Amino acid sequence: MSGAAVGLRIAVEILAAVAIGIAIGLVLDEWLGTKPWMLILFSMLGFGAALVNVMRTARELDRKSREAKQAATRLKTTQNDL
Amino acid sequence: MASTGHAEIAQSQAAEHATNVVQQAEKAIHPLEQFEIWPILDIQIGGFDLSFTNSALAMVIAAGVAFLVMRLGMREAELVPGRMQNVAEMLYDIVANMIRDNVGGEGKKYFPIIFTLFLFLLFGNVLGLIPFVFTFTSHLAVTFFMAAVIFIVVTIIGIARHGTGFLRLFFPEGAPLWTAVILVPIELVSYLSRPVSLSVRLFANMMVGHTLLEVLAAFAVLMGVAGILPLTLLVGITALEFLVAVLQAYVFTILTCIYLHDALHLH
Repeated sequence: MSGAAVGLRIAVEILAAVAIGIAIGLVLDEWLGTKPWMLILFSMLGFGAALVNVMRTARELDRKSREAKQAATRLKTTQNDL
Repeated sequence: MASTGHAEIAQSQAAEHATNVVQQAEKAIHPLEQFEIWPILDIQIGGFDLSFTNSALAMVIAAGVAFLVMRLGMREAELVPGRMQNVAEMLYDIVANMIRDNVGGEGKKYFPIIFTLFLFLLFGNVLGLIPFVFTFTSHLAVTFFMAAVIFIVVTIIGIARHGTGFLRLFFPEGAPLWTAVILVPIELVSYLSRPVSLSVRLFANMMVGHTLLEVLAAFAVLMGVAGILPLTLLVGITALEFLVAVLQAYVFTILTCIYLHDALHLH
C-alpha cells in the first residue's frame, strides 16, 4: 500500500471516531436534556476511540508489512539454494 | 490616427476574448456535475420516491457484467483454463485466500456474500472509470448503506454465536476490572465508528479521484496548446485511478472479513 493510502486510511479512522463520538453526545443531550455535558464527555471518548482505531490500524499494517518482508526473504533464500 | 484605431480594436478584441474565456471556463468546469442523480424511470409508491435512477442503472450494469464474466468463465471448465476462465479463477482465488487468511476456516460459510460484495464493488469502481458512466460508489448514501448492512449483520452473527459473551469484544483481556469504566465506552465508540470509516473511505477515494480527473480534463481543454501539461498528468492520474478503484474494492472487502473475524473469534 502506498504512503498516501496509509495516510488517508488513518485520517479516516480518526475522523470517523470523533464524528461518531460527537454525534452520540449530541443525540444523548437531546434525549436527556443534559446540554452540554454528554457532548463534552462523548467527544473526549471519541478522541480516545480515534487513538484506539489508529493504534489498531497501525499494528495491523505493521504485521502485514512484516509478513510481506518475511515472505520476500524466504523467496530469496530458496532462490539462492537453487 | 490609424494606429490608435488599431489599438482600440485590439483592446476590444482582447476584452471580448477575455469574456469568452470566462464564459468558456464557466461552461467547462463543472467537476461535480458527474455525481448528479436523475431519474430514468419515475416510480412513486406511497409517497416514497423509488425512481429507477442513473445510479441504479449503473448498479444493474455492474452486477450484470460481474455475472457475465463469471458465467462466461465457468461455462466450460477446462483443465487448461482459457482467458475468461483464468479471470474467473483469479477473482475466486483472491477472495478465497482473503477469507482463509483473515477469517479462518469458519469463514467458508460466508464466501458467497463476500465474493458477491467484492465483485459488485470491483465492477462498480472499474466500470465507473469509463467516461460518461456513473460511479455509484462515489455516493456516501450507497457506501454507507452497504457498510451499515454489513455492520448490523456482523453484529447479529456475533451475538448469535456468543450470546452475552459478545460483550467481551468491548473489554480487552487482562486489563484490571476498574478500567472498564473508561475502556468500555471507548471501545463502544470505536466499534460504532466502523461503518462510518468503512463507507467514508470508499466514498472519499472514488469522489476525489473522479473530481480530479474532471478538473484536469477541463484544464487540458481550456489551456489550448499548453493543455498538453495537464493532459500528460491526466494520463498518469487515470492509471492511478485504476489502481485506486481495484484497491478500494479490495480494502472494503478485507475489512468486512476482519470485522467478521472479530465477531466470530472476539479479538
